[in-house]
Amino acid sequence: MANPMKPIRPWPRTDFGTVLLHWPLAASLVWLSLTGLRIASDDEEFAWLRNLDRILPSRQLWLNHVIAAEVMTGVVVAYVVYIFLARLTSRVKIDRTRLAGLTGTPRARWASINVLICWGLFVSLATSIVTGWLCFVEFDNTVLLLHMYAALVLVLLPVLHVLVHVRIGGLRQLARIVRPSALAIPEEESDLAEIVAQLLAEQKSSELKFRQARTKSPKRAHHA
Amino acid sequence: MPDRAKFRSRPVLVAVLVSVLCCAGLAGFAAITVPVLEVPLIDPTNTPVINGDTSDKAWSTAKPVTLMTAHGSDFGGSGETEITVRALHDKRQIYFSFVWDDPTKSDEHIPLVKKDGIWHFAEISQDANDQNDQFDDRLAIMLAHSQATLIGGAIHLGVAQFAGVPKPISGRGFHYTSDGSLLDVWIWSGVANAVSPYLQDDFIGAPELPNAAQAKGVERYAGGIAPDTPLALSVPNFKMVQGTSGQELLQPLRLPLPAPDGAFAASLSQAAKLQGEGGDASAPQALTEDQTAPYSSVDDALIPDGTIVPSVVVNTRSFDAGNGVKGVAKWAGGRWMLEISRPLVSGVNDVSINSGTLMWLAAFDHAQTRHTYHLRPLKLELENYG
Repeated sequence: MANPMKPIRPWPRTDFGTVLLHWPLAASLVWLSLTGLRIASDDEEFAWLRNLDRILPSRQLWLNHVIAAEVMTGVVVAYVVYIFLARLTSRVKIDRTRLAGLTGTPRARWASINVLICWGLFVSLATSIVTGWLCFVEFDNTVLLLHMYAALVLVLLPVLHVLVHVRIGGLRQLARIVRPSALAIPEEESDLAEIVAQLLAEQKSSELKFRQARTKSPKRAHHA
Repeated sequence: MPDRAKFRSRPVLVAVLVSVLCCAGLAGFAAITVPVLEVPLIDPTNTPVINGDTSDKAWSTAKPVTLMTAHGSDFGGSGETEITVRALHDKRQIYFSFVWDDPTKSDEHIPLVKKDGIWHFAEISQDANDQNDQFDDRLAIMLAHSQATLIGGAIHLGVAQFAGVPKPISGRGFHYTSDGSLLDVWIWSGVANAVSPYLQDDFIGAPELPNAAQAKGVERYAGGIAPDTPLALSVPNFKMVQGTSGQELLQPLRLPLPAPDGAFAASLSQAAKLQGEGGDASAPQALTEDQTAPYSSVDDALIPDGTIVPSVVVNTRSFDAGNGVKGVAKWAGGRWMLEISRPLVSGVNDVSINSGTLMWLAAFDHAQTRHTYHLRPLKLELENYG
């Protein structure tokens, strides 16, 4: 039985945009991984992947891979645009404070590790997308090899991303990604010089209006 | 700045719009950058001679297109080779020239070697269905009507395919089309086409039902790829038999005809390579039906140890009824040059060629199955035709 004296802690939420963009990204990543692993399993050096034979798809592999790649590319572009417009870049910013967090409290440490994993994801996503489209246009073994290794990293990092979130806040933390909330866009950071300039401009404008009013009022009185 | 504020107040909407534009741009880019092979119209009196020599004047009017094909075996260790294609037509026939780099000329086909009176495969890898050494160089040309946009519709990787069908012996998968559509496949082979002017003309369609031997795993099941006609260009020249002590032995199906004086060695040297002294390394590694007779233990006993015979027999009978693909290749200086001709409108299980027909190429460097490939097809544009 729940303790009535214990305050009810609400489950955390995440902004709607992040929730919306995470799921097509996750779906395309799963589908790209399955089709990609099947394509890679045909290589002699990756023949061990044939152990996954029963779960890997077989039909229209390249077409499905390319369609999923298009979805992923679109979502990644959307995410980049979104975090800038929604001013959420601080979430993934790597600065001194973030790096210092690596030696701080457990929560700060895991949060910093998560940001580093996010950057690993960004780099492997960018590499996979660029090399993947290069392979599509002009098939080259060197580019293909780079694509394969970047994609393998891309398969592993989301698993770590989820595990770190579990470490940070357990299932409640994970549940954020299915509990959207309205986005509260933070105000732009204040610039003191800009504020002073704005105040001066306002003061100048009001003085001007005052003077204009004074020069106009005697005339009105005269006509009156 | 009210507009900017509005723009920022709907970040999800703006991001999704940018994303949709990006995807549309990618799709548009893919559509407009499909490589095109222009096929000029030539006078029927000025057609190139199909002899593997691309110096004919007619070829000077054809604009070459070069494709990078990759993910194959060897090619100097890179696994990739560039193939340069040119094409011409005279409203009746289409002519192609293909030039690709291949540092080694390979014209063996897992030959059979006689040692201590017993036939063996010459040095093959453990996996008898994925050879990457004692095999001939080949080039495969695949044609499709314009509905196919990417390679892959006919490639089904994996062991677990569908119920009632044997597993692929190589463990790699099958060629077939899921929707039953038909693709035309021509295969030029270093061994078979050393003695035959006709290319192997296959097609890829819906998967065939396996016969009894294939269902038992005795015979190789090939999925949906099959010759256009039952008359294949080359057939295996061996079978496994039980030896006197119960062991499995390799036995040729056909042996070279003896020379008039009864000596096999002389006859063999004309058609098959002999090991050791007196061997003729420049002889083609193929035997034709005309040069062979069905296996007999009496003839076999006369064949000396060290003799090598090809593991395929080439059919040189005319294929004109169902197969009009003719081709001749020459290898020089680390490069193959292949010339091909075929009627634009062809026979059963063929794809007739017109503007919009799509083409893929795959090169084999002494590999049984591990060929190079490319994803996007070449789109043929025939001048004043279709």
